[in-house]
Amino acid sequence: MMNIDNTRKRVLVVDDEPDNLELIRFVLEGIGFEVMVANNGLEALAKINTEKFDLVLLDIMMPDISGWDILKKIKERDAVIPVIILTAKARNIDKLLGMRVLKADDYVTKPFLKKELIDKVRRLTDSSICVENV
Amino acid sequence: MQQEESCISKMSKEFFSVAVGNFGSVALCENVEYIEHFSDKIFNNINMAICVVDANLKILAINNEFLKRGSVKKEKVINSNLLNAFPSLRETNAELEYERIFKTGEMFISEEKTQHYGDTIYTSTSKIPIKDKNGRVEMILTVIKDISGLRKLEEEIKFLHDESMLNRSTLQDLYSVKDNFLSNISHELRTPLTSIIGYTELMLDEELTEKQRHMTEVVFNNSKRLSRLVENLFDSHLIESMNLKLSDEAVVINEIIAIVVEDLKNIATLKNLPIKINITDKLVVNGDIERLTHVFSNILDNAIKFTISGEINIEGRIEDQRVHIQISDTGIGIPQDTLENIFGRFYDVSSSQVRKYEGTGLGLWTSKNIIEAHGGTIWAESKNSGSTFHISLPKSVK
Repeated sequence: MMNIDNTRKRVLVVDDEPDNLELIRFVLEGIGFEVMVANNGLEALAKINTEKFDLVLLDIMMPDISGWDILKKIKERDAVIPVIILTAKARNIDKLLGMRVLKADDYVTKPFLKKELIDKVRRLTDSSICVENV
Repeated sequence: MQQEESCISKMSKEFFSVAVGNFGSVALCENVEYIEHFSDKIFNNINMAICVVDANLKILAINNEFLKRGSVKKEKVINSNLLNAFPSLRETNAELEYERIFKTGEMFISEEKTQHYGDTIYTSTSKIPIKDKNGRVEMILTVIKDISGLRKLEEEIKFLHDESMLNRSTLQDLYSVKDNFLSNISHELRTPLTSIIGYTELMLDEELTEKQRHMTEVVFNNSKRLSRLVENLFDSHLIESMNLKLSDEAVVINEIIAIVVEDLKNIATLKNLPIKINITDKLVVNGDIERLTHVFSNILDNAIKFTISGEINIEGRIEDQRVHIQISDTGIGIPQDTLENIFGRFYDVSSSQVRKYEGTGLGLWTSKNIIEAHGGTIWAESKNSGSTFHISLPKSVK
């Protein structure tokens, strides 16, 4: 499936903190991404089921569905879509679980600096182009 | 009286070696001749109640301390029956005990609890058989020692022990409450910090006047500092809960230093402190990039904090299969006698002086724990002209 604007990458940001959603939207729109947001797990699953994204930024601590469950569902649906875990939880055990067991593609710990987020997002969206082109 | 004295003299050797030995006063036993000379004085002034009876429980000798246990005069009780002279002894089955000793020839030791004018008195009684040359029990020496003080001490120790056990379990409860608190609070603090740091950084992308930019930068730098403090809190919680599980990826120290310097450059620039980096080798170690970043961030943050003027130098090289990094400042230095303590928990050199520099005192403690968890060492040197922190880590072999 082609996006309407095929140069613009679509990113879904899932977080229950409205301030964070807006912040990430500002940062990523600032570098030319199209940003969609979901306030909770259900909304995130609904969007993933109906739309196509180049990247998902996923908060782990949400009131309705655990981010880990959402991650599992995303990967079941589309194993290629890169997912960056976004969380204030920084226990290494969480990181190991996310990266190794549930195969998240990267991990951003809150609070983050703009450059860190942009670097990680760019790296994953650029490489996904390569994967698709090959 | 004549009879009593001869009785004492006859038995003094045996009595003192057994009775005194029994209570542990070894020194007294060593000079029996001397004791004999003063036996009467000792006998009547020693703080033990002593009495000697024959096979019919007739009192042959009795000292002043023993007489205090009844309200009778010495003249009245000598040669009279022990149980008649001290009727209270009947209550404690003393008669049977004496009978048994005469029969078996074995010493009998017991402890008693009695009420004396409203006080509880604890005593230890030794009933010692004295035998004739045929081995038959001829007399019994009774020695009663007041052990109330000892008992009270025992009770006090038991009370203190129970109390300390209680405190210990309370402490353990508090400890786990604190652990959960630290874990939760650091999570709760990160969420608002994300917005503060993120929006402030975005604000710096806007068109601002020079004054607005300066003010925004101050907010930005301080929110990052707050973030580092939260990281230390979180790391210290991990260290305490022994949960310092380190990931084991190849970490390029040069990159960490570049990130940390970039991060702290603003504050250093405000203080007019150049940060000079002199690292020619590529320094790679195995470990946890986040935790190692915290360490370098802590050390550099301190160097900037404690330096008023001059410069900060970061040097790094590979030495004997180890990566050695040193961070030197031209700051206030660390007093020699506190150099070893600075890596302790909650330690801040300045806390003993005027508290001029903020800090949780966790930074160096967590840094030390993180470095050691990586198989490394961290130490500091200091002169009046500044401090140097050394970090040595095993070089990556991958």
